[in-house]
Amino acid sequence: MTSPVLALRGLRTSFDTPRGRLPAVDRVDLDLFAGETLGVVGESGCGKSVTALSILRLLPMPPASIEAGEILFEGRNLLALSDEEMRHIRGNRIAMIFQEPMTSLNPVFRIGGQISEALAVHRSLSRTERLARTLELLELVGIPEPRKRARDYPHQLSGGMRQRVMIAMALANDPAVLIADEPTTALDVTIQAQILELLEQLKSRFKMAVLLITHDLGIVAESAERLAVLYAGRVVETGTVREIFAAPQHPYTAGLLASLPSPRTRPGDPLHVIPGRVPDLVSRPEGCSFRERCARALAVCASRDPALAPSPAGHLVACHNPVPPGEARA
Amino acid sequence: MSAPLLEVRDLRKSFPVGGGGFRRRARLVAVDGVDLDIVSGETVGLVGESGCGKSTLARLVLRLIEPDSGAIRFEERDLRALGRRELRGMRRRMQIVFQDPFASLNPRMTVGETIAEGLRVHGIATGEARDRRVAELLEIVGLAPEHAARYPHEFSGGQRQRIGIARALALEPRLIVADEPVSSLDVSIQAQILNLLLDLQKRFGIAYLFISHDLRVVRHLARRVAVMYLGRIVEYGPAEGLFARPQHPYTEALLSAVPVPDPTRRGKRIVLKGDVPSPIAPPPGCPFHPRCPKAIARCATERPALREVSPGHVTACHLAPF
Repeated sequence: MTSPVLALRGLRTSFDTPRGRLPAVDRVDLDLFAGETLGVVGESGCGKSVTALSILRLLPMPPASIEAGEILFEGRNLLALSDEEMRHIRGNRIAMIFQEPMTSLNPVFRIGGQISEALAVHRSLSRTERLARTLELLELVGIPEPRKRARDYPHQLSGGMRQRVMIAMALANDPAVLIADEPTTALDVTIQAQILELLEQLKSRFKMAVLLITHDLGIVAESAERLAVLYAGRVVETGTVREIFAAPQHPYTAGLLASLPSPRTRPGDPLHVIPGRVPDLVSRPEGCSFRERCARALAVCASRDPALAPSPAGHLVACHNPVPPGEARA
Repeated sequence: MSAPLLEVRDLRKSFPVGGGGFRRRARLVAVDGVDLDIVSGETVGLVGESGCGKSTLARLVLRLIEPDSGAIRFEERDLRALGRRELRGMRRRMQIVFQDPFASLNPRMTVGETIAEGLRVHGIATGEARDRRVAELLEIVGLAPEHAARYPHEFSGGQRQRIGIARALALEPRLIVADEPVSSLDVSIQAQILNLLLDLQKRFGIAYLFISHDLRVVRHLARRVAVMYLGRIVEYGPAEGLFARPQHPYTEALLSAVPVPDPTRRGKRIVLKGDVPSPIAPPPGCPFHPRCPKAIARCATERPALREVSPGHVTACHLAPF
């Protein structure tokens, strides 16, 4: 098997809060391979965005600090790099797109200029070469009349077009890894379909690895090959999308899937509910963080935190009493 | 059949945009001739993308904004003919729940004050009776009576949405307009709120106009569904039929664009080209024709009228039925 282009090993990122230290991400291991999309799913506060921002070292420190672990990219530990070395990676070898393109684009510069700047930072190209590459990138992401649009300001574009511009900027330097943090959450569903299709095409064309962060299990089912489910800062289940959707083993994953209205649920029937809510991470309870919401909890769950281990269905799950294959999604 | 609870006929609303000074201002047509009926105790789903006019329609129905023309009848009374005082009385019977549970609650009022405000304004209950009603409402929506003394910032998004629902319920409405009530909530919390809405309907026979961009949610709740595009209803019919056999290419594309949490059903998307056109200068003919994969020459010139393709199922497409 080939080695991953990006690997997280035991990542722990914490925040200093007035109430104490909050470990937002704890003991997270992830592998991302070239040419694949890894979906990272979870609800608000599960640590999915903190994971992404930790990889690029974009978190303000303090209050944030990466307390443990390694982020291995092309064999190097990003956490050991100097700020200067990190700048060569960020936006160049690893690029990122965010949920709200309007806040990531500078409103007072033309979009062509902003893409061109992304090129100038990492490459020595002449003005003409930069312009040619900018137009090529706009064309690549499906923006009609690139020469004309390059002169537009962000506010002149629709939400979908702005996200295309963000993708063009991210692709400017042929990154090995693209981190997409809720890239379609602010978009309408027909525009979302366009952007997901674009990401899919670009991924296979450039053999990029995509880390797709989303709260939407539907998007993961359609766009990712593998998936990692995060709960309270930990990976609770990871494996191929096919395996996990067919037989979710962690009660949280199974519960999430069951709480979605799907073509299988009868209209008007009560939806499955995961009772309670996410524990306060400042005072994380002993044992499994999910146990207080879990119908399958055993005595051991209160004392011992389950580690990720191979499940009967073949993927990894962190649970003392996993859902037997065939029982979930009933 | 008895008269519908809410009857909307040929409702129109436009807003002036841009311009200023001596230039003539353009008008954005937000709602362009909408008909809609809601029967007592039923849920009508209203779906469409940003800017299609669904939230404007919601506010027009409650007369939170004034329509340019058209009729709104609620409990067989013409809402547009009512004076201020009568309208206020009527508003007890029709309430709204908003999308953003953070913006729609006054941060300086306790939860109890927020819920009791309607009771106070309408002079319905005072003193202890009011407190009892607030406690009862909190229990109905799954919170505890002691929450009445707390402030909104002490609650999570899902709990705030419950508070918003308790406020809407206080005056025993017959109709609740729910404008994207679960869109800002996490999946597991969404299910809790949807279950609550279903339960309240069963208990109190409330009708919902349920506005959402999420077709999965609408399919689960609504008995009938209206699809809006650029200010008009382009398809309307029983939920089951509409989801199984959409009769407008826009509905079909919308349905196929929703990501399904089932990896074995991958790759069956219809991806529409382009963005929604500007409602300031909508395309001639059928407003959907520039993006429609099925468009024929006629669609560019002739605007299709809504017509019935099966009992109760109408569509504005020249090519229907499919």
